[in-house]
Amino acid sequence: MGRLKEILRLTAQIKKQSVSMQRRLLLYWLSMLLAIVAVVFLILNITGVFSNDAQKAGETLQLQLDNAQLQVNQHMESLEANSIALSEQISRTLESVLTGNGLTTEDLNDNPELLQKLQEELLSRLYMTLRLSPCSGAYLVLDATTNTSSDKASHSASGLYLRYANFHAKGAADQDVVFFRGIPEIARAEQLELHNRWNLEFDTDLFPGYDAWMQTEVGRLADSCRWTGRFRLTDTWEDVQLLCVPILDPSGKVCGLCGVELSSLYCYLSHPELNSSFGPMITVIAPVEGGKLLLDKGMAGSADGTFLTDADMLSIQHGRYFNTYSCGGDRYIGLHSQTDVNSENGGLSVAVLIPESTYAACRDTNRTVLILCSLLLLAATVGLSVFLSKRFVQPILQTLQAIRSEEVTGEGETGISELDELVAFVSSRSNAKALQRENALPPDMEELFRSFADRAKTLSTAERTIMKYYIDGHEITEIPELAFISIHTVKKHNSNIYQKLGISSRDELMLYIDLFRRLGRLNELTDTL
Amino acid sequence: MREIVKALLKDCSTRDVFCFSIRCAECGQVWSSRQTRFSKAGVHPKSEGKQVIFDALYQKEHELAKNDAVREATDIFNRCPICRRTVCNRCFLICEDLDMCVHCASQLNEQGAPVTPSLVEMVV
Repeated sequence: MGRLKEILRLTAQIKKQSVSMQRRLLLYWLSMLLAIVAVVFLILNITGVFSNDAQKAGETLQLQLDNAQLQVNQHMESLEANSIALSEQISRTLESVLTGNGLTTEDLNDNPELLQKLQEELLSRLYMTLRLSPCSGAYLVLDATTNTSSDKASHSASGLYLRYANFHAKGAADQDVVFFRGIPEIARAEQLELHNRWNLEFDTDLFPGYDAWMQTEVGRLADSCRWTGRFRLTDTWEDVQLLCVPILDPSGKVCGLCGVELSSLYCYLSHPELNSSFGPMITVIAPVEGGKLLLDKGMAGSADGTFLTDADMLSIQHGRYFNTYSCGGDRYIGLHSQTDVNSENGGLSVAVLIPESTYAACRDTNRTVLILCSLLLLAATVGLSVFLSKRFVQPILQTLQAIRSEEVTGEGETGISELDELVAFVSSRSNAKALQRENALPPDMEELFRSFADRAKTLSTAERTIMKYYIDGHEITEIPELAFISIHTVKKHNSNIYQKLGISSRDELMLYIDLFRRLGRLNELTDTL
Repeated sequence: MREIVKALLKDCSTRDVFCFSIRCAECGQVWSSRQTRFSKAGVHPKSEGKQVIFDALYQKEHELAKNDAVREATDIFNRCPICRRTVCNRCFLICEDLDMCVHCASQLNEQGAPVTPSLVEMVV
């Protein structure tokens, strides 16, 4: 408390100290400059020059895109690795079964027992792949059918297809697995529930270029992995994408396909929308062709709260910080990047999108805040300028008023050094005038002098002649020589002069003469002489 | 005034005493200066040379005595501005406009008071 009081005392003393007008003017001009800066800042904010929302949005999108791309790449690599492992396992199983029986893959046709046996051996491996992989289903299809004489034999192939039932995002460990494709006896033996749209064999039309797959010479399996486009799974309400990895028979020829399934629901749940300061961010995995993001051939994460649908084709307009994706009236801002994933439509791209409406709302909010801040700054600086200008002028006006009313004390209380000097000067002048006024004769003295001058008028001509000598500065001893009279005559005149003027000595007479001379009123005596 | 009085002074000095007088042109009274004894009065020069020195000394003291007489006389005598005569204080009147001698005042019908009413005072 003691220190606080000391600081307050020092502050009060500093306030009492005079500040030069130049420093005050400098302070005033600085506040004016601040006001000008505030105006410029306000204009720039209104025009959006200062707004870096676009840059921030671009940075946010880029960050999320990097994360999403990393996540997708890791996910896809994991699925590809598991699918390749599955393919190799199937190939080995196929080799052991066929070679053990002296058969070839051609012998699988019209051989339901062999197919069943093969599927029984592969089911556990497929099941394990499904459980271990972050996917919604797993399948294997062999280029063979149980009945080649059937009408659909040309696009029907035997295989296994396991899927999660009632898929949800909690995790795949406790999900129920349903038997979607395959020989039902195997499902019964393994106590797997048949899918309500179960079928014995695959429709190979599901796999784009299935026949070409079967004719392909495969070098490395890793180079042959390919995702299909998104398609509606037969007789279901779900859209899926399948990872296709060729299955090689003992001779090295492609005898089927295997892989995992990613459903749109799985993608929806595994890529939830992220809330950013600019609105919800949606992750999209889709091919880019012809300057368009083809959502109908890809998959999108959760897009709740937006009008984005999986059937849209978004036109891409490239921008400085982000791209604009538009489809009809819906517009999104975002970024996309090509992944390493192969698909039948070329490379898949990962895109991160934000509805432009939310971004615009956020941008407008930020701009409004900036404009309000600018206005506040402007108001504050203008207020400061007004305050400083008043403080600048107030002591001048007060001093002027004091000078007009002649109340200047000269104590230097204006707080402006130059003004204090002016006040001191005016004060000294006033004091001088007052002193001069004080030097003026008081009323009784004035009367005294007036009566003396009146009495001087009563002097005779001869007496005035003598008095003139005194006024001219002559001594009494000089007068006889000048007037050709005796000193006694002079003294006689003196005596008469003293009597008439009411004085008693020559010294008194000389004092009066001196006072009249000092007051500039000697003419009152000489005019009568 | 000194020159006027000096010219009017009459030398009444002897071998041993210096004295000068002046006569009032109006009343005829003669005013005499104080007598001043010669410093070598009564001393006979023993030689020709001393005689010369005494003579020179006499002249010097005579001149000083005359100056003193002039100074004394100027305290007593005035010159009338009308008739330009030199008159004593008793015969010189303090008039209203111009001081003048008694005679002129009577001639001009001017009233005035003498500077010194009595002779005693005048002498003193």
